[in-house]
Amino acid sequence: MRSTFLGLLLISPVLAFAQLKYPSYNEIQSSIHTFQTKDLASQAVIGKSLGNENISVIKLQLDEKPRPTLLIVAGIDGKHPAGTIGALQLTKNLTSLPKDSLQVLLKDKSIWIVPLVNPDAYKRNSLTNQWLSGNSRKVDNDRDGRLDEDPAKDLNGDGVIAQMRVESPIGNFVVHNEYSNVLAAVDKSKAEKGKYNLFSEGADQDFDGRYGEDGEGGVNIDRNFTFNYQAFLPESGDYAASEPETRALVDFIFANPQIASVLHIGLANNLSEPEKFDARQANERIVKSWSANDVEVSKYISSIYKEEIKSLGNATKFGNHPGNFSNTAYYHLGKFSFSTPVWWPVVTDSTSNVPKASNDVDETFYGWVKQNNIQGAILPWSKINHPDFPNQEVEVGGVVDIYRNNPPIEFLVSAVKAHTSFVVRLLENMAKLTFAAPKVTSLGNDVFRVELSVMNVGNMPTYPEIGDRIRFVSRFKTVCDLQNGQQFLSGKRLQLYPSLPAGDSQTFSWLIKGKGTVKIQAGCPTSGEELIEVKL
Amino acid sequence: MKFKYIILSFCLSIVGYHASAQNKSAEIDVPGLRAVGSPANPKVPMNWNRYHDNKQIEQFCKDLQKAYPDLVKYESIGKSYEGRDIFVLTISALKEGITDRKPGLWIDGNIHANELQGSEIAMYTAWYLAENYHQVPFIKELLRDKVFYIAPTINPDSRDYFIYEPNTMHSSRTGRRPFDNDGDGLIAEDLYDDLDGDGHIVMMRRKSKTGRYKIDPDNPNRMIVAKADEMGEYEMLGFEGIDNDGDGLVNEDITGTYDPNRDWGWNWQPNYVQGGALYYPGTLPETMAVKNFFFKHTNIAGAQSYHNYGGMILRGPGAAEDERFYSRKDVQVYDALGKTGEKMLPGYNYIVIHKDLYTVFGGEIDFFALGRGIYTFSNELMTTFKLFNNKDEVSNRQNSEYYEFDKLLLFGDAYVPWKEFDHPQFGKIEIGGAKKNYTRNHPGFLLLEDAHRNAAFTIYHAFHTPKLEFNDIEVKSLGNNLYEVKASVWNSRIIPTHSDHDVRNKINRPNYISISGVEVIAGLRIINNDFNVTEDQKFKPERIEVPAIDGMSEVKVKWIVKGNPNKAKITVDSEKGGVIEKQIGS
Repeated sequence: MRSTFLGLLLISPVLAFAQLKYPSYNEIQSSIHTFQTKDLASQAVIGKSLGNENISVIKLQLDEKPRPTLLIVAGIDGKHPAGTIGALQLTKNLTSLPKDSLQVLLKDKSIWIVPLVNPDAYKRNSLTNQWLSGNSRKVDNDRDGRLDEDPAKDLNGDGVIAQMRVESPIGNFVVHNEYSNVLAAVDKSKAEKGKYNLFSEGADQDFDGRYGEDGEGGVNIDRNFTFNYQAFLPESGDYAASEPETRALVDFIFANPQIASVLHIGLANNLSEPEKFDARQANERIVKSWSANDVEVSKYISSIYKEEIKSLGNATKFGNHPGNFSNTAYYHLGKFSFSTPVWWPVVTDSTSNVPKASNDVDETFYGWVKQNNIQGAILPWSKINHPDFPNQEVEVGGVVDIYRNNPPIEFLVSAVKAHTSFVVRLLENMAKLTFAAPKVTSLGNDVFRVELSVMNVGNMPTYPEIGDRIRFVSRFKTVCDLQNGQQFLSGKRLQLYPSLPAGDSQTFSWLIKGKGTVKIQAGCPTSGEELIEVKL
Repeated sequence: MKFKYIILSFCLSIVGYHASAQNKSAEIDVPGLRAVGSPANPKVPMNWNRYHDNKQIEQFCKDLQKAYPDLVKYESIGKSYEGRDIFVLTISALKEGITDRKPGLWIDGNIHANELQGSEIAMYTAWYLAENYHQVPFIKELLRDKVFYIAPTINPDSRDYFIYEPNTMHSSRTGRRPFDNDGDGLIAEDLYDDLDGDGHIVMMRRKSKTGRYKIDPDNPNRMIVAKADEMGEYEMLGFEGIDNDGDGLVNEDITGTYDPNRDWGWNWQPNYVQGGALYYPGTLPETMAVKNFFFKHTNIAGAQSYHNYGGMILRGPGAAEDERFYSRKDVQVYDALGKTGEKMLPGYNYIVIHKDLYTVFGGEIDFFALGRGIYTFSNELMTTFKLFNNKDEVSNRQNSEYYEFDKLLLFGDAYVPWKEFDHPQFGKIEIGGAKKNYTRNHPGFLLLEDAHRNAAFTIYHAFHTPKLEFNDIEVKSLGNNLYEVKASVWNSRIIPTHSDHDVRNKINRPNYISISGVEVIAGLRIINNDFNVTEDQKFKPERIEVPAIDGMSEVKVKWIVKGNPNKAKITVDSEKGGVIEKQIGS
């Protein structure tokens, strides 16, 4: 069994994977396991995928005591294997920091990394060399009642699904004026005439006029989260959070209230351009904008990000797809939620060796491929006979999409290095509480006023404002426990407070009758809690 | 050996004959004893003037299956949070056809556990169908064509908790999964307290100069608000309880304050948008069990989910923004059924959830109707109309009819009279008021009648799930050994095989009309028969895909085949419309 399997691999080497030099699924899993034994690192399983693969978390922390935590999440969308590899490299970079500086970094905070939320996708993709987003669920993508009846088809047998162009006098594409293997869309507003129609490599096996629209490749976990979930979209699942991977991640975040911020390494980006405040959307019943104060935090973190990634050029921007993780992490889980694609193509000026500014992501990608002579990213066109177009010239080649966000592995090094610095700075900027010594005023006859002040000396609030609205986010709280014989004349044992902004303070006070020791617990899991004893 | 076997089988057949003859007479009531519509001598004797706990519900399922093994099967579709089974009764002529391919009607009750009677009405429906199968030809035909999936309670944990533990008529709407409701890190540490130990959680009142309530001079059980310029006598202190955790609040951390009916996968919203929601749709094992059942039973074409109270036949959508998913055509189907329901259920109004009740995000009705394309109603059982069979002008909460009804027809059984009590925190108070099974849950003698009326409405609903029949099969020679085969299929009921919403979003696969046993050259959907407008299906022409067969409507398809199609078989295979087949020439 095993030898047949290996044999098959030898017969049809997984080309693009080899060209990207990405690790196999087993190598990824064993790389996760190496953190089980390292200093300050440990590893646990947060759940199982639909295909029964482990979803792991690597914990960088001094000990088991919960501290305010930054959670890094990658590998949600199967089309982003670079995110998983990047997250593992980043973990390695962090654990390779000098031991004393890592100790200092982790003194008050922890970093947890879930490098591969969707293991089914990585496992399948790395074996089939088809870059699909979803998990291992069988889904009917075109909703015609038939499962996987029209998969993408490798028509020219080169082991890669690329593009397919069909010559037509009414086509919408022409050959790019600079890159001969790339097609460019015609400008309809100038009545330009094209020469080709462009499709993904495939055949219309169910005669519905579409090519390769229903193949393998399950539910895209990054379309299956609850915020702005849209039913009936391809790959979105039967309903929000229908997938075990989605649930495992949400359950894990609710079960660990100390998670304060989430960094998603994926096909998402709210760091090169921060969140924008929209008063109307922020005040509607279904909230769809970060609050004004939370947007300020987003702006600040974005500015740090831009400083750290300067050498990498302009990051690729992504739209907010319905049901994505990053938005759900803010709006429904109550966390500061940031996202970065970790790597993006960049063209450097050959003389000064600095990134050329460009806002056209396609042009930058073509330029990057050319400048670095990336093998396998853009293929020459080769003629084939296509049964669906018996009288037309059909060629296969062009852009192999996966390269747009996933470079050969050596390109990740500098990108991950910059992101490591960003992660360290993000951690340093998280909320930090300092408590002043409690002030006790005796009012006579064993009546005491106890006042306690707390300051947030960090650069971020204890948790985002949206968290105060979410029932399962642990709020800022004081618990004042009295001894026998003592009683409250004013104030209560337990009191909840809203999030404490950066550079702000709050004073709590109680009027207590009776001598003895009072124990006050104050704070919240996302910023740390302190136990203070006061003798009356 | 052989001889012995013949004798034995002969004896057995006599015994069998005798037994079945006896059965036959036992199944048919003496006409003079049978009150029409109800079995005089049911095999499973039930008292429908009372409520049942989980053990009794399970026993009922067992008894009914044992009495009618060819009509009743019960199974557990999953476990609740506390590990109780969630039972579903399958009611159909189990030996005729494939049960799970018949058009199905789903009925559930008690998702809100304090709303007890949904379970009894669901159970009554199962019982009524089985007990009348042999006596009412309509029911016999219905169970040959259709299947009922009946879940008496989809919240079993909380049902027993409501019945046996301290609760009010409004509490225990939730399930039993504990959450920390007041943020103090402790769970369920301040429950209701039965202060006087009489088994009822009722109201607390305290004499007070500033109180705004007074005793109704016409009814000592009733507290009314004093007039604007009048001094009150009492202040109301809420339901019976004490501050158990010393935080200055009474009964503030009762168990589970979530809502299982906000845990479904359509337009789900978090708790700050939709109170009662949890982490994501399907946080609870109970709702997941039902969801999974629906994905396994795509033959479910209609659904009913019982609630109380107010006398309503509700349809979706739960939220105004989902109004766009209800086409005119779909609404017409709902109207046809709902308006008949109003006639069958005096005092009940057929209305729309978000317009006439309140907005619900992530509700069960929307998941069935919009997530799965199933025509769904939710009846809010019990209404004050039933008390004196008329509509009182005053709203439910303010009217005095409940007190009068108690006095005249229940002789005081519905209320705990006010009595004094020394409360550790409030001092001298009085305790009294309506018992938990009054106001929302039916009084016993009204339960049977409403059970039958609601069961009849679901039977009507089930009857109108699609019924497909061949109207006509025509064969015409085209010469040259080619033939044209034309088939027309008719849906003789109100509900289409696919709602408009289903067709637009392709929720369920299309209907397949296929021909086998002959070589097919081409397959076409006939759009207009008179003018020969057709649609050529290139992919698998032997299996023509038809998006929907509307209610009281016909579809036509045709094939061009090679060779005489005599003895070829035509099959209609519809997820919600069932499977029918016919041999050409038969």
